[in-house]
Amino acid sequence: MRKFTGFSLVCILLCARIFATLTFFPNHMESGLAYGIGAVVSTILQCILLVPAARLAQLCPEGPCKAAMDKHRTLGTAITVCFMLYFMYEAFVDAGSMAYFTDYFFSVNMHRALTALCCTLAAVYLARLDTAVIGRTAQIAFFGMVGLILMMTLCSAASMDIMRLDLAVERPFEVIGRAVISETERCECLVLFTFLAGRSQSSPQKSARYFLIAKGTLVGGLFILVTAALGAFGMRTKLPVFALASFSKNLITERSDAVFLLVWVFMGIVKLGVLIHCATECLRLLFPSLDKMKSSLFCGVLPAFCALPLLLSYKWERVICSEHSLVSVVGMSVIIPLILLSRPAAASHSKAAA
Amino acid sequence: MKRAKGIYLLILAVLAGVMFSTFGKALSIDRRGLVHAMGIDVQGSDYLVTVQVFKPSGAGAETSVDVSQTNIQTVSGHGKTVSEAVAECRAVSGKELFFGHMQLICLGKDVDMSAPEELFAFALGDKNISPTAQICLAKDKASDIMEASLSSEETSAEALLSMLKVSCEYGRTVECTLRDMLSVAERECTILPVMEVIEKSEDSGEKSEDDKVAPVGSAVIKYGVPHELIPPEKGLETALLCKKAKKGSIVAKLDGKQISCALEDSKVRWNLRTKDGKLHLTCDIELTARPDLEITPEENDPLAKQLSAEISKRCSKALDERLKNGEDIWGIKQMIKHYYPKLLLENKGSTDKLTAQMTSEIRAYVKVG
Repeated sequence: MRKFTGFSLVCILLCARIFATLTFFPNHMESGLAYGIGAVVSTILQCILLVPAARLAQLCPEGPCKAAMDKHRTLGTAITVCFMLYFMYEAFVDAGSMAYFTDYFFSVNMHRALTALCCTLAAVYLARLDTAVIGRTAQIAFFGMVGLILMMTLCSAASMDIMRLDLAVERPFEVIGRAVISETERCECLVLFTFLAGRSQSSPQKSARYFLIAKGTLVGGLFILVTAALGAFGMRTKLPVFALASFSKNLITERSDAVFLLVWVFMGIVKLGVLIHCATECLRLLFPSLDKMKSSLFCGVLPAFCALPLLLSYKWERVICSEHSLVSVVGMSVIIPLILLSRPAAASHSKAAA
Repeated sequence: MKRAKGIYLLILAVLAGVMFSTFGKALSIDRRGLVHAMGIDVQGSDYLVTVQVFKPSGAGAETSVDVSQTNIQTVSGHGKTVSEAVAECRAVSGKELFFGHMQLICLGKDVDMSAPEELFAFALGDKNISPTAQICLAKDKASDIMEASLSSEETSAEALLSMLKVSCEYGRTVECTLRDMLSVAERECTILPVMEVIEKSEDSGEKSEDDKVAPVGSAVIKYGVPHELIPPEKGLETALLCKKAKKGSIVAKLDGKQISCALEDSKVRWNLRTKDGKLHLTCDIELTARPDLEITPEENDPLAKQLSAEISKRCSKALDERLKNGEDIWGIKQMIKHYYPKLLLENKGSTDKLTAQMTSEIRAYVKVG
């Protein structure tokens, strides 16, 4: 398995995180500024949360699942199954959300099932490639995202007003606290970091630092940008960043939502591909005799297949409007690395040392 | 063997694509009605929606669009909500209405604007409608504006929009977009440009003259109803304070001469502080004035001072009048929210009193170019 650069890892993680923010904001946002502050505070807290994962990645470059398997077979199997189910659940949410929002954003002529199938097959194709190739693809998506944000900022600069940023809420600290929790719940990128950081050519601590700085800046910046440009309208609309892209005018185009959709789809495919890739690796750890192609197909098609009943019966809103679980994010990215760091090395290693 | 397998898979994929695409909702462009403008009126307890749908009039000619014609077709529909009325328009027109090109929404004078989120629910629910769509108020009925025959541009909607944009740019009316309307909280004040059909043409034979439509000022909307009409002659100061006037014109008197000056490059900065225990609002306005008469270098400074004093006086008068009536059309409450959030929360039910008790100072700096 080839290693990839630290920059590729950061791009993969940013694609995974920013995709969620580009799609829609957390429910019941009372103040854009409060949520921007919450995003920054959450990022600062995540600096502490990622310490065990970074340390584990440094000690066990093969990844937490392999490291757990080496220490204790049963523990390793349990941890691998946890990671696999987590990645497959997130792939289920993303495949369904891509089909749902593609149907919503575009006046599409394609059936939702076909949209889900196309996204899944594209992601499965990406997933069966090497991590280094996925990393390079993520870099392109990242630059596209940065270009989009810059374009939206410049195009809506004339109508931005700093006065629209306010903390006029009844209990500001409570609102910021809720924002911190809500922001951390959406950070499946932390779990991806725990899984992939060992494979980075650069030091995991360094990658974590750069990733968190970029994430805090981009996520906080997006909340502030939408609030400053759209004001209360941004909080009322279902899809604030899409509305901002519709609002962004320049000399060539009257609206930039087509660029938004291009970047959004690209990032979605990268995120889905990474999730399927990670789930495939977990599956192949559990069943080493499985072919890479077949495992990728299984890990990709099963979540999409599970999403179809909800998509076709128009009940997908229940999934996207439901709160994500903070326990799963903290459990996978903090508790599991702490368990693995605290356990002694496997018996075979100690015998070899003797 | 592998190659054959690949070819079979490729054929299967193409067939699957063709098969699944037949389940879709394919719609050719000629079955779509491109809505350029929309009028909303109240008729009894229902809404009457009149849409202008693009219909090229140049059939048989070299170009599909005949610029001497209006190139639109109006379609009307009734409904308990605007969305229901739009659905009736779709049924009447026989086309799938597409709102991605809609640039203007005109509201009749009887439309209740106290709950913008409810009124514009159709726009919030439709991702195609741009937040930059202009909103205006009709002097009487929005359907009159929609049915007006205007051929000065390619379509009637473009002619209306062009009139509105120029009028707003020169400060004769104040611009309002969908974003601005939906940023206003319930029962807060806002300001909209007003359009009126001044003269309806008589249809005489083959060629009919254009109707005359013009912007007639800006309406202050308070508690969802038009409260006061600011005429175009007094629109500049209001538009400047709203940071929406880019240009304007003003007449000054210097040594017995009447000098008309074109104003441009406007920059407006608001600030809010406390002074002697009260909220003190300051506004700095910077403008460049270009006089139409040749003036000597010695006359520059006196002219600049006079223009600055005149603009300060007019803007102060406009601001004091609005604040006295509790009409916050400049987002002063948002400024209080930004600078003093606790103060606003403490005075939640009586923010009008807060703004009425405010002191204000307008400082204009005019450069004569």
